[in-house]
Amino acid sequence: MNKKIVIATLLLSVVGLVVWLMLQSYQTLQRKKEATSKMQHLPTVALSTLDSTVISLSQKGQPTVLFYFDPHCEHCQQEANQLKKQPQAFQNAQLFWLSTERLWVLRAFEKEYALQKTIPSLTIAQISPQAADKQFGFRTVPTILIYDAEGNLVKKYVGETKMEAIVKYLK
Amino acid sequence: MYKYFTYIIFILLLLYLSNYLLISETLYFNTFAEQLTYEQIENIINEGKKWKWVSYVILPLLTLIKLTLVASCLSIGLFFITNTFSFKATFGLALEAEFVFLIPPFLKILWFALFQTDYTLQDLQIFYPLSALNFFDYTTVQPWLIYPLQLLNVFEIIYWVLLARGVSQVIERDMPQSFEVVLASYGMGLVLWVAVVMFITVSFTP
Repeated sequence: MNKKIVIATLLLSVVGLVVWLMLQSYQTLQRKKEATSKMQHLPTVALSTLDSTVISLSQKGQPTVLFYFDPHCEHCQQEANQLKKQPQAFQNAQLFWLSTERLWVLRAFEKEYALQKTIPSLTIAQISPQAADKQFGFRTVPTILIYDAEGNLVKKYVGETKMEAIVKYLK
Repeated sequence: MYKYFTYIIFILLLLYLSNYLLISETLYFNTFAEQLTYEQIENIINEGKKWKWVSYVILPLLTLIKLTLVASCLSIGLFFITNTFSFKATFGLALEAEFVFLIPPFLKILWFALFQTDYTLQDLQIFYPLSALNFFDYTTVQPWLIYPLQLLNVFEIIYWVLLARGVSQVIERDMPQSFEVVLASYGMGLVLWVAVVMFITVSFTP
C-alpha cells in the first residue's frame, strides 16, 4: 500500500513538473511571438533620456538603429568604441542606445564613451523592462535592430556586430 | 571502473579528432565574417584556444553526472520491483549501454570530413546522425525543437534496448517486463530532462 502511494506521488510530481515547464515555455513562446510581430514596425515607446526628459521613440522619416545594451557588458563597450571611430557613417540615421539600467549608470557610460557627444544623431536612453520585453523581445545584449526610413525592420543582429554590417542596411 | 575509463578515453579521442579534423580558423572566419571584424574573429579563435582544455576536463565529469542520473532513475524503478536499491548494478549497465553513444560522434566526423565538406560552425553544433532532425531543414526549425528532434535517433532506441537487456539480467525477468521498467524509470527521467532543456532554450534564446 505504502509503495503504491510513493509511486503515485513520484509520478504526479514528475508529471506536474513537466506540465508546469511546458506551460511556462508555451507562455514565453507566445510572448516572443507577440514581440516579434510588434517589432516588425518601429513602435512608439516612451524613453527617459540622460537629463531625465521623457521622449517618444518614433519614426522620423529616416533610418533608425536601436542598440539594446548594458553599460557593464564588454561586447557593448567594444561596440561603442567601434561606433565612435566612424560617426560620419551614421549621419543620416537616428541612433538609440537603449538600456534598462538606472539613469546614473547610463550617464556614467556616456561620460566614459562620449557617444552622444561624438554622434549628434545618437541618443542614450532608458527603456522600461516591460517595453524592452513586450515591444522588442530583447533578451541578449547587445541586440541591434535596424529600421528603414518607413519604419520597417530590415535586420536584427544579436551579439557584437561590426559597423560595416550595420551601415550596409542604411543605404 | 576500467570500463568508465575506456569510455572516457574513446570519447576524448573523438573530441580531439573532431577538433583536429573539422574545426579550423577558416571555419571561424566563414561563420562570423558577415557580423564581425577580422580582429574580433581572431580574438574568438585565440580565446577558444586558451579555453580548449576545459572541454577535455568537463566531458568526463558530464559523463559521470549523466551516468549517475540514469543509474538513479533505473535504481528507483528497480526498487519498486525488487525492494532493494541496486545503484552499483544499474550504474554498470548504464555505462555499458553508453558505449552506443560513441557511434554518433564518429559518424559525425566521417560525415563532415568526407561528405558535407562545406559546413559552418552551426552545422557542426546541430547535426546529429540518423536523427529525426535530418528530416527537416534545421534553419527553419524553432530552436526549442532542435534538442527533442536530435534526441529522437536510432542510437537512443538502441540505448533503450541495451538498458532493458541489462535490467532483465539484474531482475531476471523477460525483456518486455524489463522494457516497461526502463520506460517507467529512465523514460520518465528523460521526459523531465527534455522539458527542462526546452524550458531553458525557450527562456534564454534571443
